[in-house]
This record gives sequence, C-alpha cells and structure tokens, in this order.
Amino acid sequence: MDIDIFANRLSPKYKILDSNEADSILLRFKCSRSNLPKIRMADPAVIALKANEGDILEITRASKTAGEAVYYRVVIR
Amino acid sequence: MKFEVPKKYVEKFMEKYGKDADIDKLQAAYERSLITHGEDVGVIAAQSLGEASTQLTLRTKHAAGIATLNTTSGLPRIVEIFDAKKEISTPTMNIYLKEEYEKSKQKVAEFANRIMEIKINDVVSSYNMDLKRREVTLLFDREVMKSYGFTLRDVEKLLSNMKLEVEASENSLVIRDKTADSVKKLIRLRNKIVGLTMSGIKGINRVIINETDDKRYWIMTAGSNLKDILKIDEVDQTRTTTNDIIETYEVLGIEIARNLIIKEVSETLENVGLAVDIRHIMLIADAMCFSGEVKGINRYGITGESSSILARASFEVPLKHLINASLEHDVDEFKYVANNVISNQVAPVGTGSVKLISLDYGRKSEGKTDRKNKEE
Repeated sequence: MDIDIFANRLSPKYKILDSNEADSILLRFKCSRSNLPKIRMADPAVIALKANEGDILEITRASKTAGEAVYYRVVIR
Repeated sequence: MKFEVPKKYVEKFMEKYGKDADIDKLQAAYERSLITHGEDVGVIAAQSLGEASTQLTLRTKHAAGIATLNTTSGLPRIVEIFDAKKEISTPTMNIYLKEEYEKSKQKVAEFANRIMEIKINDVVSSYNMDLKRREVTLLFDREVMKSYGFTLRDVEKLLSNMKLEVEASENSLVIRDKTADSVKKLIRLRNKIVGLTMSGIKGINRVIINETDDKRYWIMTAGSNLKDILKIDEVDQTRTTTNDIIETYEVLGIEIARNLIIKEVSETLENVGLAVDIRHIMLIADAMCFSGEVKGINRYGITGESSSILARASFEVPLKHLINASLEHDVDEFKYVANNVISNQVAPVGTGSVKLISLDYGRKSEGKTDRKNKEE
C-alpha cells in the first residue's frame, strides 16, 4: 500500500495558490517570496501535490487555539 | 489591518448571544486580545519553557520492573526534541490497525509477531570460529527457531546471496569465507551474519499489545520504522505515529513534523504535570520548521544561522564565533535583541521597536530603525 500522507490525523490541508492569489497574499503581508516560511521540493507533501518551485502553498492547520489557522509556505529547491 | 476572527469564536459567540448579536463587539474583543506589536514573544516563550523545565530536572523517575516500554521522558526528552536529534534514545511507535482487524486480539497478535524483527542472533545459541579453516560455525537453538516458525533452510536461503560457502548439518551451519584471513575479518563476518533480519520489519525490536476501554487493540513498539510500517495493508495510516520527529519529517513532511513537535512537547510536559501554554510551544515549533526542514535550537540549527555575530556568540562557543567574525571582517548591525542587550542599548522590543514620527512637518525622522517605523 502506498503511503497517503494526507490521511494522517496530524496532516493539515494543502492548496496550491494560483498566481493571482499568490500576489494578493504577498501584498497582504507586504513581503516577498523569500520572506515566507519555506517548504522543500523534496518534501513528501510537495511531491504528492506536484507543486513547482516558487509556488505558494496555503496550509490550513487544525489549531487548538484558533480552531483553524492558515499558514503559507513557499516551495524552494 | 483588520484581523479576521477565527470561525471557532464566531460560532461560539452566535451560540451564546444569538444569531443577530453585534459581531463588531466580538471583533473588538478579539483584536484587544491579540498580542501587541513589538511584543517579544520569542523571549516570553523561551522563559515560559525555561522556567518550567528547571523543575523537570529533579523529577526523572525510574520505574523498575514494570512491563511497559521505558521511553525517555522529562527534561531529557524535551532537550532531545528541541535539539532535533537525528537518533533519539527511545524511538517508539503506536501502531493502530484498520477497524476490521483491531477488535480481534488474535489478529492483532499475529500482526505484532509478523512485524517484530527477528535477527539470526535471536535463534543462535552459540558459535565457534576457526581461523585455520576460515570458517564460522553457528549453533542454532531448535526450540526457539521452531517457536518463530523457521527452519535451517530459511537461514541458508538468506545466506545464499552472499558469496559464502554454507554447509548445513543437523542444527548448525558452517560458513566458510576464503577471504577471511584474520580474526578481525572473521568476527566481522560473524557480526554481519548474526545481524541479518530473518523476518519482521527492520528496527522494530519489541512489540507490546495494548487494549483500550472499548476492547480495541493497538500495538506499541520499541524501535521505529514509519516508512515500512505504513506500507503494510492492515495498518491504519490515519492514527499510526512514531515519536521520531526527523523520521516523520522524512516520511510525511514538514507540516506533520511540526505538529508532532507540538504534540510531543506538550505531552511530555503534561506527563510531569506542568502547564505551559500551547502557544509558546507552537511558536518554537514554527521557528524550528521555518526553513522547510526541522532544525534544532542549537548552534548547528536555527541559532547558528542567525546573521548577528553577537547573538551567535552569546549562545554557545563565543570565542569561535568572535574569532571567525574578526578574521572575516563580519558586520553586526545590532538589529536583534541579544546583541543590543549585550551592548547596553535599547533592544528593538516593545516600545523600543518604534520611533516617533512627526507628521506635522510632513517628514519622517531618519532613524536607524527606519524599516520598523510604525505610525502611532
């Protein structure tokens, strides 16, 4: 059986942002891609999502304090 | 900037005050509860955990004679997690099976026996080495071998793809290697053979079957091999976890590793009866996982990457950093907390992070900390 990393209870929800959404995120935080938290190309989640370098992932985490929290990571090599 | 109130709070607010309650009040209350700009959250997180962990040191307990797995707990475990150690001292896994299997004790026990790693060492009772003939003789324990369900044939088969001469008799194997011309080489050969896995999954040394209140069974193991365990069909991937953070990072990715750090730290603290707010732990976990891989809080990890020389020097091995910096003509811009504290200046924290701006004259004061200016 293949490992389904999204099946794990600790796994958040991932979404690849399209270029419009990515730009609006950068505008909202007033930062560039290099300031965002990073995620490696070799990361199992990135491989499973087939994301490319420079893509921004929207990560919706289950949070004990806020219920749901949104986090962003940029894919790097 | 307007802050969005999390759905969780909106729902609870509606529940308590009805659907047409004034949502602006919630918004105001939420914004009031947020941390203020420039608050030194990192320092507070460090202090909150540091103070609590001083009490942990004396409470290392040793439970003797209890038939459970002895996992590292207390301060040693906390240090292990925050250092992002590659090889943790007691890796364990909690393996849950899919619903159709987990209710039957027999099936779970069968599974447990299947995954437990059995090495040749476990079925060998004694061995002889003969340097003159360049051979190692392994004497097998028939009884033990039978209980595991192996025969001598299986061992022979296992050894067949190594370039060795194997000769079997009733309950022993003679292994000849012509290249082994010293005692050292013979011992190495023996260790290699004895360490071979006969069945089970590499790294799973012990298995213990546990029962929940509603008669479901799950397996706790000593030793961890997440990748191979998750590939087995019976395993429930949603609940099966390991306590090895680096392994989780490699198999499941950075986000799950980050969640595991939070879970492990808060569980460790809870077990010794300490209450540290989870936000502090979350902050530290995020800092450790910021770069896309799990980095420890030490001079090889996130502290060593700090661009400030004095901040690095004030953490560990100061002389090394200072000498290197002077040799390389490094510049410290005094942007961070540690170096400003050392040099007795106002640290960019709280009110120190803000400069006064006079808007009346239409120009800003030109301070060093211009990038952080905030209109007040």
